[in-house]
Amino acid sequence: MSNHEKGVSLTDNHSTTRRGFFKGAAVFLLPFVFRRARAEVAPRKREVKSGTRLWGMVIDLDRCTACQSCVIACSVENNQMLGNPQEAAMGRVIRWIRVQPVVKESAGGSRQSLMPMPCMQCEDPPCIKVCPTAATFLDPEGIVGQVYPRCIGCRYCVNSCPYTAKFFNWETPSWPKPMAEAQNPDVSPRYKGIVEKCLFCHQRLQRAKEKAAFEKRALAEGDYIPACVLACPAKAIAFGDLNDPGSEVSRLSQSPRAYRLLDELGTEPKVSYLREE
Amino acid sequence: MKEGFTRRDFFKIGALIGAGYALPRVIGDEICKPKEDGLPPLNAESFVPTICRQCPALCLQKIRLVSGKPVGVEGMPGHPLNQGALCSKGLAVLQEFYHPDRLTGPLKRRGPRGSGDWEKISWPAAANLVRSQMVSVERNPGAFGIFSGSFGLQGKVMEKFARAFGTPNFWRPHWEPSEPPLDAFRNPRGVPEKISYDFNSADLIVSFGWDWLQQMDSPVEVQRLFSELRRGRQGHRTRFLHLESQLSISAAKSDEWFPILPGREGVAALCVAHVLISEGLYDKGLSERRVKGFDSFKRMVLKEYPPDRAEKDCGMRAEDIRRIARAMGSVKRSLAITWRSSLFNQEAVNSLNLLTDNSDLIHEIRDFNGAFSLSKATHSEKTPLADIKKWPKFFLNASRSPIEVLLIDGFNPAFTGPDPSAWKEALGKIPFIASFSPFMDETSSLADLILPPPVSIESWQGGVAESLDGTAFFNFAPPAVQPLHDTKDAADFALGIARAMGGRMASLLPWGSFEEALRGVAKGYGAGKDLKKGGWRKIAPPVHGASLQASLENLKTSDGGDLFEADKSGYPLKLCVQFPLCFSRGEGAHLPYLQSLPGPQIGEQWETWAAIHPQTASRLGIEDRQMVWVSSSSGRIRARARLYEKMDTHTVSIPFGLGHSEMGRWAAGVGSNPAEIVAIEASSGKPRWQGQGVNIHV
Repeated sequence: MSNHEKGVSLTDNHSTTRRGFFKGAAVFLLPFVFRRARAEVAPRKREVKSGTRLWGMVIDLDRCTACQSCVIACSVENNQMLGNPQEAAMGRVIRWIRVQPVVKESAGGSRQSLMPMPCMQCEDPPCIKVCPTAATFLDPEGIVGQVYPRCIGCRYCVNSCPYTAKFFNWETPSWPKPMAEAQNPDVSPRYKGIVEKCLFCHQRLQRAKEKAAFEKRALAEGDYIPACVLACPAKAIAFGDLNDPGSEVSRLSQSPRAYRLLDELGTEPKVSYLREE
Repeated sequence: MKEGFTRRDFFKIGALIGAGYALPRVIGDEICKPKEDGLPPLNAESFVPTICRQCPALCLQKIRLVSGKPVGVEGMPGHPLNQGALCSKGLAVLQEFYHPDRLTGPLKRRGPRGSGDWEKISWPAAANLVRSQMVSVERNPGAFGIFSGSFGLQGKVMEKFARAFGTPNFWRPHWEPSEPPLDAFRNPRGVPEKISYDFNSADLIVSFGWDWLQQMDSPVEVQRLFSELRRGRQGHRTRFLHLESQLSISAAKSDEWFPILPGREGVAALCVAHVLISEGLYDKGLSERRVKGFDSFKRMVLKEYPPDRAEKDCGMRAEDIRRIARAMGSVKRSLAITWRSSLFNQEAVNSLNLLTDNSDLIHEIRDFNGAFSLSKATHSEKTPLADIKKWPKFFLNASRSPIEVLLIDGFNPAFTGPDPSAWKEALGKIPFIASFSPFMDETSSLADLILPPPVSIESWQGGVAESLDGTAFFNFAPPAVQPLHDTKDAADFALGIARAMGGRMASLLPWGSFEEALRGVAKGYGAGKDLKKGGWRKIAPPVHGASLQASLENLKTSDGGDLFEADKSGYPLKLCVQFPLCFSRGEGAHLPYLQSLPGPQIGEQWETWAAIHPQTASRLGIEDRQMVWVSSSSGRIRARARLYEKMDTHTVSIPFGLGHSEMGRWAAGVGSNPAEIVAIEASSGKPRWQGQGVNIHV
């Protein structure tokens, strides 16, 4: 069949060839395939079973004094890198919780808010959608986890996190002797080429669960408290189970002062702030 | 084929049986036995109490030990003062314990002073050396002196040691940026040792240049106080106004911030007083009746401090001055607070509390650490030969040093200054210096003998912790861990010397060890039996002494200083030294975690920055992040220029705490020390932390 004849047969006779049929079918099916694929990448909001705990935090900015005890408590608990002037100049000193100045414009002028920022532990975390190795994941109790041996250091998650709460290790952290002895044995040290993040002091949850199991009782409110919450002199950070309507954190997160950072992105952070008046 | 049991068979079977016996052992011992140590037993976690000695607050801490090794730290839950929380410095104590550059034993100078040439010696040899030096001045005890910056009971032992030797030359350094305006008050003995602001009773708190959330003593309690004032009481939220040359942390946390030229708070306060008086917002009857010198004060303020003056002298709008005054006048209970800066500033700011009749919100509180002594008074109460503020000048002016033997404990004036170079020079004139320091600091590097004490968690500890309202607690704790190095507590060392000296010294300091002295004090507070467990005892509820006298009589019409010399002398900008909490008292830069804290608002860490307003920068042709020199009549330092919109346009702001030449790998060579460009006012001996004339150039 010549090219000319082929063209005529398709346009003039309206007859369908076998090839044409497959083409049409493929085009017809394409949206279905995409939709399916998209559904796999971005699952709809997961169903949290009743009775499951959902860990959340509320930071009262009216109580917070930006003293940064939380920053050091976190560093000590989680074996954070020591830092040095060179790394600081490149912005590579890793601190899982940082106090960040945020300028808010209002009718009365601009106002600087100093906000302690840990990982927001999103219910719909952008970071896990881009991870090619499932190194970062949402655990059943709402904590966004990070499995270091699975991480290949692609930094997709670092770039996708709107809160800049994920950090890449550009160098092997240096721990001169005997400083390394200060490391918390419950927390694995990180190494060059992987990403790390705030895990709500997951090791403390583990310990609290083990302790409760040993004592043959259920986990109670206050058994599990992250290091930053415990250290806060201003008692500005509340922590607990968002699924328990009676918990302090549930109550505070319903306060008229409560808001979530970049809520419009739909990430559904489990860290809320209470604004200053 | 041969029959029977041959010799060869015998050996074969013998070898097999031998192997049968030996192999299981070899396999058992060499192959099956794991080569690594077993896992530590479960539940190896334990918690032991200790006392933080990073500042005079003496917070009780809980050290987390896993398999006997300290790996974590928390505040002691239930303690009335820190209530389970800690400040950033307290949380970093393990880095001090494990610091790789700690001194591992006593060092004796071998080369010339400051050459860094040291030799190790033993503790008995060090004790002999100090003793022989002390014996050489026994006939003239005034030639012996001690600086003791140690917090808690250790410092008390050192004081007693000096008194027992018969010298009046015992100095305890003060850190004025953390103190309230003590000089504005008088009690029958003079300037009170301690005062307390009753923040809880105030509806409005106006801070005149005091970044109090970062600077005030007892940082844990201060943060909690702020939180409680804001949210702790239903339906009552204290308002804060803040005047400072830059948007500091306290300014950012306040409801309103008013930029002002550094050091000009006193003038602004008198302009506010003018509005209070002229608009009749003060408590007329009470102020006029109670306050001495009110009439002349009124005349002076009305004549010389109209609100317009603030525009010229303070860089503030007259309208803002009126707003502050009206805010103060419209509430019943307001407090004007400031720090122990120039006398004029202290008195001028406090005059507002007199005018609004709120001076009853300021109480004198008992200085327990100052008052409490180890036994009945046996001291010579003579005053030291020079005030600590004027110390370097006094020594530099003397042809021959009146002090021949000096012990320095927990004090590093060659870094914190003020005027560190004068201190270095003055120390250089003293024939023999022994320094107690766990690190090679700037002062120790100029000493003849360095005696490293154990760090807080390695030693017996006790001391009186005082809350902001005057409640006092006796905190005590045994060593939490074994010492890492060959160290000796300064108090133990002093007691050893006293024993060896014999006679009067041995009888006045009869304790065999610091632990024994501590036990005696603990018994007095009913804590003798619990000493090994650690804990606390409440020893006194707040006692408010007779009301403080503050008068307006002596307030000068101007600050009398030469703050305005600047423009003429080529230093058109004003310096504002910032005191971050993580480096309070100029200490903390040697702990790497603290290095990432000082500049959250500017995003700076691990270096010294000079914050300037973008307008000023563009006028001077300076770009953001450019390295610049900041110079004053006293010297110049290098800093990284950072543009910060939230500050006064005539101000350069520099944080204090960095710029060490010693103190280990994380501090030495990092940043610059603004104390080097701060001049000392000749009359008062006060450093000009705020308002020093400076210039900034590339």
